[in-house]
Amino acid sequence: MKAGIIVFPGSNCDHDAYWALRETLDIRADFIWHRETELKGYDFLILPGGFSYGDYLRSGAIARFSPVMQELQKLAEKGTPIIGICNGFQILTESGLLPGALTVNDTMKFECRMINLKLSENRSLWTKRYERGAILNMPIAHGEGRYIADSDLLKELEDNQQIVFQYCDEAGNITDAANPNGSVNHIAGICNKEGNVLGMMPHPERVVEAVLGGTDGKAIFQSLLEVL
Amino acid sequence: MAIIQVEVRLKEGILDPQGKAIQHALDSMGYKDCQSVQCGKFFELDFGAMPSDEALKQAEAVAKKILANPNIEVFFLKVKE
Repeated sequence: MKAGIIVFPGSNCDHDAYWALRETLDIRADFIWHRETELKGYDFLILPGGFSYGDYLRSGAIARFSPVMQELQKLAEKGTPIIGICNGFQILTESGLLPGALTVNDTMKFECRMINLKLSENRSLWTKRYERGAILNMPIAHGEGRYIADSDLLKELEDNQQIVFQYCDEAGNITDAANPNGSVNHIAGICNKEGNVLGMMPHPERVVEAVLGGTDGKAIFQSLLEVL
Repeated sequence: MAIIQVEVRLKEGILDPQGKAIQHALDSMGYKDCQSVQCGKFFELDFGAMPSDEALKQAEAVAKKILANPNIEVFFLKVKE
């Protein structure tokens, strides 16, 4: 199995993702520079966190026009598993591979801390190793993570079971107090209708070993071992 | 010579934390009559010698594709005088 990690100017969680795959799961991974126009031989792809293009204009707005994104779009349509983490999630919404938008946190702060999230739906290829309803502890680190969807889109996401992760408290209650950025419906992550594309603001790649402070993110990547 | 000005702002009803922070600052500076601030973006696109109607068309395409995110933002175009 081989993974591709797309690297944009300003990506900074690419090596964390690489470490998570190579060192803790023994999955081969390549870094792929954003100017590439071919994506061949990869079983799944990661759009890592960071600040592509310095978050100029809007987070992810410029990266989505990188040459590699055209190829990524084709693979997404073919069903290749793709995960966008933090800035990667922003790139996925900007490119239209996931619906809705992400914008400035309502707290007016860069939120960098551990949070709890609930696995609300389990349709995605990326979450097969978890039980539906699981409460996971993961770090967030973002200034533009407020997910926005209008009421029609929200209904569609709910009807299609696309709301994968929601912010919650330690006991799993989905409350305003546990929502770090003002996301509508406390959304922390969504998948596309087909379930192969997942976007999430929390960082699973940073919690794959006890020494890093937790292991709740490991099953995201292990889930693919089941389906590929 | 055509320079097109593009203004981008959040759709009505979408919380603008930056505008809110600025409004709070104005309040503490003593500008108590200012009730709200909307923060947006402003761009000038220089199309050189292109006729302004054609430049407007291109600017509109650019605004739709990249300058504004239609899910959360609206934009306005103007030819610079």
